Amino acid sequence: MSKPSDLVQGTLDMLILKILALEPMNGWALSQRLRQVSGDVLQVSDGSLYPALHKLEQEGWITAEWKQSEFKRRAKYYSLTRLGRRQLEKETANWDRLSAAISHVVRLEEV
Amino acid sequence: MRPEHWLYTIPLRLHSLFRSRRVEQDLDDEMQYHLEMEIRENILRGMNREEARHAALRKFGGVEQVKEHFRDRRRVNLLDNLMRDTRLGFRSLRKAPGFTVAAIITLALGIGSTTTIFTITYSVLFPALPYANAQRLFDVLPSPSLSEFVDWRERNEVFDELAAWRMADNVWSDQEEPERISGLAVTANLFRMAGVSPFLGSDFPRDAEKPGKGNLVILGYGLWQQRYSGDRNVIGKSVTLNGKPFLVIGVMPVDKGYPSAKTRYWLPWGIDEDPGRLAPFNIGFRVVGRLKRGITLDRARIAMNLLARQSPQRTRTSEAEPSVGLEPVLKGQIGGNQLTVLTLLGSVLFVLLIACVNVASLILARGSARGKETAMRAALGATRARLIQYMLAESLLLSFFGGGLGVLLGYWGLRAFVVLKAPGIPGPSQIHFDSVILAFALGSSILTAFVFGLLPAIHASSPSLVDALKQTGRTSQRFGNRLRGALIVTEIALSLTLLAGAGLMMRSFLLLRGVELGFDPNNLITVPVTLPKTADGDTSPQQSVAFLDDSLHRLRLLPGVRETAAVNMFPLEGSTAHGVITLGDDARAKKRPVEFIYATDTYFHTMAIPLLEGRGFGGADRSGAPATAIVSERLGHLLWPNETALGKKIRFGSDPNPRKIVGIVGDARYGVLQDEYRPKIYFPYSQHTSGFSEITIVVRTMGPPRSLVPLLRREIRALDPKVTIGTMDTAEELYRQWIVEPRFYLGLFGFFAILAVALACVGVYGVISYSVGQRTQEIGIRMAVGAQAGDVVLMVMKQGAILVLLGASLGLAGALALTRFIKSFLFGVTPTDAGTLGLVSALLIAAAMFACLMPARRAMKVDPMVALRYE
Repeated sequence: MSKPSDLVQGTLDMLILKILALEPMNGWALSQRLRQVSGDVLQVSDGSLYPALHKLEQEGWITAEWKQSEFKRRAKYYSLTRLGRRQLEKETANWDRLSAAISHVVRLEEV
Repeated sequence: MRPEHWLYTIPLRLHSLFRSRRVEQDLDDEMQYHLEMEIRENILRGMNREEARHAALRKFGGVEQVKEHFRDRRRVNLLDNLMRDTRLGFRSLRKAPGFTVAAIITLALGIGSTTTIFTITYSVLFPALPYANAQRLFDVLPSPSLSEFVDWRERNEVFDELAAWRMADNVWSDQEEPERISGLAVTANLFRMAGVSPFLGSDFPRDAEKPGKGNLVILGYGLWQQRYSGDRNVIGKSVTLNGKPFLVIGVMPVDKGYPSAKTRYWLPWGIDEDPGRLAPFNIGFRVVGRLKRGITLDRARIAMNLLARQSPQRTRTSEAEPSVGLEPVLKGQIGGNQLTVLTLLGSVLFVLLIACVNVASLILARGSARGKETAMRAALGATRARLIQYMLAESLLLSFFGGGLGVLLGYWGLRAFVVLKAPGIPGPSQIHFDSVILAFALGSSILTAFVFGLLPAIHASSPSLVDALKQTGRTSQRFGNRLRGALIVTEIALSLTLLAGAGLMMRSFLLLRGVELGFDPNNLITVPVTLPKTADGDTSPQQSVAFLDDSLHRLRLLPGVRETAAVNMFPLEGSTAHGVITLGDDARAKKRPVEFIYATDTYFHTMAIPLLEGRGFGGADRSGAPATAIVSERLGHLLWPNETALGKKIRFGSDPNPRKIVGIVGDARYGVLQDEYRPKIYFPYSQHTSGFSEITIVVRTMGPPRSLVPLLRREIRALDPKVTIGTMDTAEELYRQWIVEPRFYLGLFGFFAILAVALACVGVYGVISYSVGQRTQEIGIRMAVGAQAGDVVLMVMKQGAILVLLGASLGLAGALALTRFIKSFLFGVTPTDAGTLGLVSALLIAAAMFACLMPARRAMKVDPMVALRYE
């Protein structure tokens, strides 16, 4: 069975950065939001979300702090750093270029 | 990577390294939170609690895998592992105390001796700065004339201060015993310029150079201790120098002074009154200046040369373009011992290398013994890099313990050096055991750990997993055996090179000890005396001869004195006088350089220099009588190879009158013991034309000569209180000073060589007995099929012999290449002396084969039944 939801390598990073750019949030909320905004097309297994978050943190793109969540529970909230913002811009630009090129190629075939 | 990046990541890494429990907890909490939220959501969707939990877990994937992923990603594994490996290594070392102790002691010996020698080398090459401003002090070379100096001091714009100093000899007669002591006359600003000041009293006031203000003296620490027993009340006291009163105003600290802490005293130099002021050339003084801050050396040089060109005197004498050079003062202070200490450092590094090789072979043997453990680790998933890392951690641990012990040993070794007052080695105040040395010890520990740990680690982690697990142990040992063999060869080669050096030094020492003095140094003491000068500045011949006749006669009458004589210089003191003698007529004159000596008539008898032909000096050789001379045997042969020298006539120096040779005596050594023998000619003291003011009286005693010192002193003083008596040395003491340095270096090299050979033999023993242990079964089989004990011994010995001989030939090649660096330590033997090299090779081979013998004997005793059942 093909997995249409498999993310293009490296896109998950960009998505996380993008979502966190809007507002800081914890891991679970992030997974919910991912599902929500992509209309369930992009299914990220929760297991691979955390390693990705961790990687972004190690790169210095996002930073985390423990805060009270809505249910009176301590949760780890991630937010974008300056470096992360720059990275997001870079990746978005890359993505735009790539997707434009790909759709261009795809249209060519249809003609 | 970018700094901004580190801003975020470094705290993270540190956090995960040092607060790992906390980080782990956070991770747990985060996962837990996620799962709980997911479960809550699922319940809201209508699942029951159990279902909700399962669904959440399913969706999440493996919690533990995620955590493990996190741990790996934290990227502190290297340090983390190092800590774990260290703990583990510590435990495993404790379980093998024999191996651990052997390795640590070996390393401690190596690192300890290296640290000692390095410390000394460091102190010689980078001496502690003796003055605060040392970096900015420059000697002005060549020294200008005095008037130029005065001119430059006023007009130059590149130096803060210019100072000058010259030697000054003065007779100190404030105490009962007048003594001639050398000190310095200095401009009053010298100490201020150098940045040193007296620790007692005060520096010279600025006007001390002015006429009438200069009767001040600052004592050096040594003179203060010796002459005033370190009395602090000496400040303000008056002392008498050359009959004039001087006020003591200061004492220099033990390790400070200019140009060195060894200077005995300083006087202000009244330049304005100095008669040398008018001389158009330098009268024997040095100029030193402190460069202004911000002035480069090049600029200073140009400015000084400009100044020199403007100098009125230079233009008047119309010399060639003056050229003033500036030399850093410190450069001149670094002694000529660099070669010595570097040679020592080189040889001690050999010892360290051998120690490393030894420990490497120990580890190698141990590594093979625990091959199964290693294989188990590998089977459980340890990568090869990880295994090597673990083994290196163990090596590091060993090396730190060895290094720690080594630093202690090194410290004691250093103390021994200082206590022994090693010649050519800086004194205690110059040797510092500081952070640089500790850094060196630490660095060498880490380095040695890699040197001895890496090869065995790579070998032991080699991926022959299956073999190791099956524990056949007999196959796949080829690489290990070859490596062990290579280690033996290296050890033997290194120690042979070192031993060759020590052997050569031993040989030269024996040769040096065997040098014929040509006289009897036992029960002989020398008394240097300085006769008072007359008004016209010299000692008249009559006066000195009269004094000598009297004093020699009176001293001879003392109890315990056998014979007395006088000579213008004494053998073994190191200084000699040279002149030229001329043979024959002007037309066919033959000139020959000789050492000449003036001696009294009892000299040869006193010294026990044999009279071979003719007569000694006597009453007939008075002043005014026909001039006579006595030649040493060798000079006679040189000048008249085929006939006797007796009765021949020669002329000496510019004296037109011929001198008749009346006697031939045995050859005696006067100069440096190591120098080639130079022929000598003696003239009678009574015929010296101008008279000496400095004479050595030689006294042959009946018993130990030292006890006569006070008596001799009193007697000479009674005869003429104005005579100054120098330090009395016995001939044996003078002789010893030529021996002490070679003996010291021989001892040191010998110690290193013996250490190296001992280490190498232990290494050979270890490797061979390990190999015998491994081949127990094979030996058992051989014996079972009929090999005799002798065959087995021969087999083991042959295995050792091949390695030892290979090592020895490499070592011999190394010795041939390297021993020329110790040429300056050698005497009478070439650096490639075949006899010595042969002898030390034989010695080393014998020692190494002896080390093989013990395991060979063990192999012989292998019981075939036991060995076979071993399977």
